[in-house]
Amino acid sequence: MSERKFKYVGTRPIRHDGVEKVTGRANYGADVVLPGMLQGAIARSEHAHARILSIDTSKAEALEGVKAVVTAADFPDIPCEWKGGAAGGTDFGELSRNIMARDKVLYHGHALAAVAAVSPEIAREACKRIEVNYEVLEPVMSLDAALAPGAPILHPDQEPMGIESEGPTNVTNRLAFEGGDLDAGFADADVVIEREFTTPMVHQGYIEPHACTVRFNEDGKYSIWCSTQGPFSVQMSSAIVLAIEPNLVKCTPTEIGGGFGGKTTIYLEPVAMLLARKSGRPVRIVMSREEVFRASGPTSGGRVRMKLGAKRDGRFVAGDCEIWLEAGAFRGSPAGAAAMTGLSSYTFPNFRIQGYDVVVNKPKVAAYRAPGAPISNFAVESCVDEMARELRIDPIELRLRNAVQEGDRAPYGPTFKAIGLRDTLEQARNHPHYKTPLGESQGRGVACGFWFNAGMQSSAIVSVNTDGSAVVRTGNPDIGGSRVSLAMMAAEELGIPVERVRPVVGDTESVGYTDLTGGSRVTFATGMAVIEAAQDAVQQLRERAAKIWGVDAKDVKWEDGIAHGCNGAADQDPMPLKVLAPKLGATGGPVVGRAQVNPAAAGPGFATHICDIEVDPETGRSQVIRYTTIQDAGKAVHPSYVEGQMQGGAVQGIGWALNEEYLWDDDGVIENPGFLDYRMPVASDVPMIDTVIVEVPNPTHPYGVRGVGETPIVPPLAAVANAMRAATGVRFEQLPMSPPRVLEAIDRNGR
Amino acid sequence: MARVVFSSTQRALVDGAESVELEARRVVDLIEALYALYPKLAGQLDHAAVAIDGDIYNEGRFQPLEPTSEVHFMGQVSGGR
Repeated sequence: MSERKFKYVGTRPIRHDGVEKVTGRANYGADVVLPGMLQGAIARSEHAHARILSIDTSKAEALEGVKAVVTAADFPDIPCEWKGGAAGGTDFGELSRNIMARDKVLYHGHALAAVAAVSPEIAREACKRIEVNYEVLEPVMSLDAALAPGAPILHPDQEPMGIESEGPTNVTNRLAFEGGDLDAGFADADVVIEREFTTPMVHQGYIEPHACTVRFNEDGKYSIWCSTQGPFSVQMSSAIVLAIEPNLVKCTPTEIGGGFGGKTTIYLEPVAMLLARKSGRPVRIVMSREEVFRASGPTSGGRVRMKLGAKRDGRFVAGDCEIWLEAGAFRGSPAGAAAMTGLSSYTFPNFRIQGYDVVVNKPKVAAYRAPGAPISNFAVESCVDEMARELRIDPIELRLRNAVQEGDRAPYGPTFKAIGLRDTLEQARNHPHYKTPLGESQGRGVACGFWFNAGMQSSAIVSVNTDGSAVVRTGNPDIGGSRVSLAMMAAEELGIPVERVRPVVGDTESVGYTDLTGGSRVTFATGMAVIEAAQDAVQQLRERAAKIWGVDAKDVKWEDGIAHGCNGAADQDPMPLKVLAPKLGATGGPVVGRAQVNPAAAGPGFATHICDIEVDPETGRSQVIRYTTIQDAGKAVHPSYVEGQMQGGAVQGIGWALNEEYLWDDDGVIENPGFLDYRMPVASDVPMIDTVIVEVPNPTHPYGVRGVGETPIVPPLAAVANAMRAATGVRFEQLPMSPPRVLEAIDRNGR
Repeated sequence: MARVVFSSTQRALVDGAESVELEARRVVDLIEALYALYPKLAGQLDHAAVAIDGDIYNEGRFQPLEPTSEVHFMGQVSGGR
């Protein structure tokens, strides 16, 4: 595998979708226009926690231009039932209630009703005329408030999992992993560091708001065009929420302007489906940026208590990590993933890691790039940094003394195969960045990070055209350059230039089932399907050449896009695909390769980041002045897009560390639902992010590929905090490290 | 016999056992044997991912097991990107 010499994989061709995107011609979610289309709008809750006593839509329905109004009464009452175990799952009843509130509103901005009208202005005006009677309840806006004795309970009928509770509770789930003897481990430690960390709820911040358009036909079939990471999951989830057969729903994914996990769930689709059915006309709904912030999935705010014990020589002997995550209005925070990843970068002979899922009156969280891992990793890597200081051991050296390698067991069970954490640490230690002297008020931090990466189901079709070009059809929306990466893998097998391979993202009726674009899985798993489909096509091409030559297919080999005779057929003139392709009709018809896979998880991803920060002690303003990410990609198919993932993840993590947070008023209303006040990093905020790609081949992939999209957001929170510690002398245990908080800490520290 | 290692959350459902060895040709057979042995576990593994000798399968019910296989059940591994 690692010995294979690649011709196209590892190069940097221009992406096939580039021209349409840079010229503005690409069609995103809100670009879909259908004849007779209506515009939808959502009426949303004015309260963060309230019982719905009545909803009167009559004034909205009476408004000129309004064609349909729906409320929860139009939705089937799907029972709330957890499909899964303590470690994770789905509740379609709760998904339905998040899409349209039933009985209670559970966060400010929770959808209550929806209108379809001839213009967006009329639809919005109609929403204002919907009258709702509430019994206002006290909102639960923090972990402390949710866990306090006598706290208002969001879901009084819900049974928690994994914990014993004497009565209703806002804790919905506990997940734990333990090994060794924790007490003995800490008793054996020479140094123990124990801290508690908090991180705010933050949003994924994709540029493109949620948008969908739905057409309903008289035969009962729905067509959905939407911005999503998973057309098949839109099809399935929408059908379940509306209690219809999934085969009545066709989903066509548009181009997607970012998702980061936030577009792995649904908000608008079933609403637009009902409005389209009721009005008899196509309906488009587009969220405003404010709606995106108020009512679409952020990731959890969290609290993590971390206790780390080590011997004087730096060996970790015990780790105890307790994670509490806000799930938002309905259960299902990434507490499980946070727990499974938290201690996975290092070997701990004695450990305990616990994750708790807690509901609060905030938007229901959705997946966000390595869900949960940055939060637990922030605590663990901050404590590792403190331990390095206490032991007076270089922070990279301390990590190397404890870093997991092949054969080590992860705290959540499995044993690692070939992994690249140590390689990334060695590269970091030898990188010029790590050796460059720092100036005044500057500090340097290091942190590692881990993400599992996912496998899951994928299918692919590779068809050969009569001119010798090819089409690759898969079902994964292209978020991070996957089209070109998949085309490159097909090109590698077919032996034709990548420019002659056209990658297509299909809808749910034109490709085989494919799980969503998520879990850093597309280049790995769908790529595996593409490789196998292309190999299937190549086998057929060998058979066609054999037919033309009148020889056996085993006497034909395929090299660099050319059929060569071998064995008894060695005297045949080589036949390039361009010559063979026009003859496919005469030799049996079109050549179409296909494959479907459901591979094991994709080979874990590890990274080490180095951050330099400069802090103005007068104002508390900080500036990341240099940042290097080093990550094991297994095999970088298109290095530019691997680097892009590494850079993007780092920047999102820097934003999480330094500025991003929701601000809530006492009534549970978000005060900063826009990019002006919710401060995400822009280009001028960060330096060029340097990248080093490490390639430790993943033994489960034919090219050695590992997922790369999520790992890079895991280390930055701690890397920045550790740099801040070095620059200011202050250990920040609360994010974001915004200027007022930094200034206050510096002043408190007497600098 | 395949060896199943339980997480501490699962231990509460299997009488505190850290691991158990059972005869099973496939994961689905193993799950049935586990449910029979530990009634409190019933249903809990229906949607779980399974790790067999370090390889994690989100949907691994029909994966074959070797007599020496080590098996862990866990939450499905997905993600946000």
